[in-house]
Amino acid sequence: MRKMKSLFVVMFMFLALGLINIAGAQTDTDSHVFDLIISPVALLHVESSFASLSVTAPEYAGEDVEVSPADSNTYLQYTSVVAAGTTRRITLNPSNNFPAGIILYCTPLLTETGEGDRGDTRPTVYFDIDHRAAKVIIDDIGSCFTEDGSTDGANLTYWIEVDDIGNINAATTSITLTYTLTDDLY
Amino acid sequence: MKIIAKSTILVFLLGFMLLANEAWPAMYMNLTGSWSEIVNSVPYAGNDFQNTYESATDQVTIDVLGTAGVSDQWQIVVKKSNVDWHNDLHFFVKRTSDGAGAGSISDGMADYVEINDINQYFFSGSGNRRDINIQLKLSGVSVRMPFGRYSIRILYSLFDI
Repeated sequence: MRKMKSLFVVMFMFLALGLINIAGAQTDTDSHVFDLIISPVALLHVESSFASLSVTAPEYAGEDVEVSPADSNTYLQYTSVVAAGTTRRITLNPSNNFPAGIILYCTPLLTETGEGDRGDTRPTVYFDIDHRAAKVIIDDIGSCFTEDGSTDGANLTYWIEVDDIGNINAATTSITLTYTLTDDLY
Repeated sequence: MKIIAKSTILVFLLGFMLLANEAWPAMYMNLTGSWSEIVNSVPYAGNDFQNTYESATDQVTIDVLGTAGVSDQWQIVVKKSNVDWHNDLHFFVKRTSDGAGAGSISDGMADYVEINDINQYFFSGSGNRRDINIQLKLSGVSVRMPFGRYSIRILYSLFDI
């Protein structure tokens, strides 16, 4: 008799579990996938009101020629999206019509605008008639943006020195300065 | 003899439970649609990507069917399962239509519900409802993220309450 009671208890428990299952359980689940695809981006813009750098006559005859003050009116603005663990650099390359006797210097300085891995500026680079190959001015650029206001991004200061006055000719020379945002090779 | 009797009762009981499930079919859900977003440009050099993206208002459609009648109540909860996600990204869902059918539906329309790794209440109703439209939103997109594919699975669970 006691065994029969136990059996009824077990039967009742099974029945109760079954009803609970029917009455309040999760009945179905379905899903969908969302994909965000971010493509590589490499965009560079030069914001500049660069006027000119000049060599002018001294105040008094017999003195050395004078050069104009440095120009700091150029900003490089860029947006970069790279693969994880990879970087880019910006190079500066003057055109080949470089005037003899003149040295052109460029000092890059990152402003505080933008976010992300905006890179590191290199020390001052220089170019003259014998050294016109492209030089890196900013490296270790990752995924970042600099903003695009008139004074956002990397500020470039240009100035000139007279290397050898004996080689200078009176003339106006327009030098094209080319900036390139390029992938680092691994 | 007693053992045979007990076994017979047990088999009967299990059979009854199976029949009960068959006679009382569970409600179920149909889900159609998915979403993907390709981000590949900025307006100007120096800009960040657009931060927030919204899908069409009927990007995903849900049907709740197989209820026992207009008074059979249910609710839907939602969560995400990270496949290859980025911590800066946030994903949201919002109900944009009541759907059609007998019964009723409520909640989930006023604001987006942000989805995380545990179930969040989304909306509830009663009876069969078809074509309940769902809009999706993504925020936190930035060029600071490495390029590539970021994926999540959005899981909707229907509870009979």
